[in-house]
Amino acid sequence: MKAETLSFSEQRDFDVYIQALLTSGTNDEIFQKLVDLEVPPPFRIRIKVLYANTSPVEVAEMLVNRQLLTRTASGSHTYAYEIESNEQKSKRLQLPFLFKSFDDIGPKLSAAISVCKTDHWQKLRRFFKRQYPSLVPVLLSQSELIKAADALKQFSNHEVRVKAFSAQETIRGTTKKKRKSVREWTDEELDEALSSIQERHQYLTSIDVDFFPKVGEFTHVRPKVSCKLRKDAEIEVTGSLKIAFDVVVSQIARIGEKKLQFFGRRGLRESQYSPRPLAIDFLRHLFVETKNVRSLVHILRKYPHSMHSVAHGNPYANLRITDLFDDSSFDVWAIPPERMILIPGLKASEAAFERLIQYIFETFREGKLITYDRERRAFEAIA
Amino acid sequence: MTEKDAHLRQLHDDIVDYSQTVIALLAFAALITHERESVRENAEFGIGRRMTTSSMNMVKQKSDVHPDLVAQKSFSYGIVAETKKSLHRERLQWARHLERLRKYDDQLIGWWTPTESIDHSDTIMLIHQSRGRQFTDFLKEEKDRDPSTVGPTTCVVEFTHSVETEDYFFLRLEHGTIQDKELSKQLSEGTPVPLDDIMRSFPNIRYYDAPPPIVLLLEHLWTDYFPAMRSNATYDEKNKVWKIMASVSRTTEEFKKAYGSGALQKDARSVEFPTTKWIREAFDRLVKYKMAFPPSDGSDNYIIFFKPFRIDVRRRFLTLEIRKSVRRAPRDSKQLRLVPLQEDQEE
Repeated sequence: MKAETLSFSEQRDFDVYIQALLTSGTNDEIFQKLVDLEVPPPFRIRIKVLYANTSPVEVAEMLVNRQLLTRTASGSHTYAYEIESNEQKSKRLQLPFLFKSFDDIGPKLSAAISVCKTDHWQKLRRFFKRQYPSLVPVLLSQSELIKAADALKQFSNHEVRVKAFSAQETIRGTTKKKRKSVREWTDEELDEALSSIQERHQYLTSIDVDFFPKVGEFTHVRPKVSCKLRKDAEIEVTGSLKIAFDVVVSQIARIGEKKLQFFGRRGLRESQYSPRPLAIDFLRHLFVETKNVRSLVHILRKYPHSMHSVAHGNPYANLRITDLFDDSSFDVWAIPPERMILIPGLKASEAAFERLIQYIFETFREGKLITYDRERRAFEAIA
Repeated sequence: MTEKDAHLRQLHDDIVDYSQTVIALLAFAALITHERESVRENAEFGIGRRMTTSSMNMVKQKSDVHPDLVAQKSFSYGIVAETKKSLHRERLQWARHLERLRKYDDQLIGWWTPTESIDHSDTIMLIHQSRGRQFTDFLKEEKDRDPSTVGPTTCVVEFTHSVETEDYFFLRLEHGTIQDKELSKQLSEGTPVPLDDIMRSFPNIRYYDAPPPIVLLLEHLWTDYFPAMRSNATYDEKNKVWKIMASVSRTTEEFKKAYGSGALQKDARSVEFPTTKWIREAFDRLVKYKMAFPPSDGSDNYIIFFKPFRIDVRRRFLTLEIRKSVRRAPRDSKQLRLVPLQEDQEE
């Protein structure tokens, strides 16, 4: 039975209840309370997997010192971000969240867990975004998002069904390329849904999956938990937090850890001046056509928060990109027929590598990530 | 085309020429030292390596020379090459290339063998295809005029960068005879060296032992070195710039390790590049642009006023070069030394 949406006064009371819950006990105790919590709409359990060079908790403590966050309890990693009330502009609200680490993953990754409404969550995620590159989001490519969803079947004794997905589709107009967002509702099993997304050349941005309990060959009619997985490693949970955290969130964190490790220590200073470039191999012979080379240069020149220098734009591409968030730099080559090379400069952080590659995947094409050496190890194989 | 546009074009072409020369050198070195993906036994190469002429040298006896490329295929065969992407408009100027080749066409000492000498070697002018035939004609004319001006093992190899279905550097023998049979066959027919292979083997080499166009160096400093120094900089709120303390010697050392000679094999005969002179000149140029402050305490520490450019960094520096009316260098200046050579030093 679908839960009824809370009235305005009930919402206010529930907010207070959540604040009390997130300030009582140790991290594990609070997490257990969240597991047992029934969350009525419009509230949702919302989770974001974050990475930090030290640990997200250390970054949070630094933000507490800078008075950008408040520590809400001494025995746990719970913090509150102060936001303006929607109803009363002069009134300030505390938006609490818990940083929970993963048992089998190092301290560099944690999940920020909050119970809140959509508008409040938007404010909190914007706050996290502003902390980049101290707090780095895990960014999932389309294939990683698909694989993460696919892997859910193996980890749970549930039937996993895709309820809906959001994607971007390219519209080719007369003058320039545009993207439109599409949201499609499906009632398909995961494999079927994924193959149809690929067939339609859509770029996946989120997947909604339902977990139905199974007994032998028989499946329950209602899901135990529904999760919306976004490409920036955000998970919206309706139902069992336990399943969502153990299966979905942990899986995404593991991918994130592998990925950021793969990108790590590639700057020349960190690698003792031994070059450790990466390459992206595209499926088609894209760079045989000059228009694709030009398009790539055009896209890279617009890379947000960067400085660029184009050495060649046609018939092959070579340009240098400097990430102005953390001063990482990359020499980028597009070499026919289908290879793009990313050569790190003196400084090249894992976060900057991740951001640049995600940008290329989203705005140009998604390709296969490999080490650019004799071994040519694919990231997928390593992950 | 206005004079300004022509100047801009010239500066841009100089940068492209320099970068392509570096890749052509690496392509030729890779061809000689590699067999498919593996390095041949006893194969070595050096850029600008110090070699010593014999007592029989036709130009200068028992003196040090620095060919652009010395590549050893085995203990018994190697090549010495001079590289030119473009040539001076005046043919008279070409004579100095010939003289240099004549000097290299010798039993040079400095190979990676137990005795530092080698049984067979060829002296090669590695030149862009667009100038290869002209230079060969010139070489033949000079040889007809005076046979002693061209050595017995001098050859001309052309290179061209081709971007079709694959991106490669194509190398072909235009004149002369290559003594090594395998290499002779490859170069007579013409052989492609994929850019992908060159980049994979030498992803970071951006310089050789000739000074680069100043804009290329400035662009590299501005997009890579100065940003990497920003964490220790102070922000000047008034002028909206980051004040970065940059030492000429430390910058040179880091560029050597990252993008120059330090990224290649090193021994007592290796030369080092980039040099402090190149870096100092780049810093001085920033002073001229009012983007840096020179040292006032006898040190080599400049204060760089760094701010990210919104427009293309290369374009920005090219525009500054034009605006400041920096005197245009000769067309092939990229292969000339900025500072005159000392008597005992050769290019």
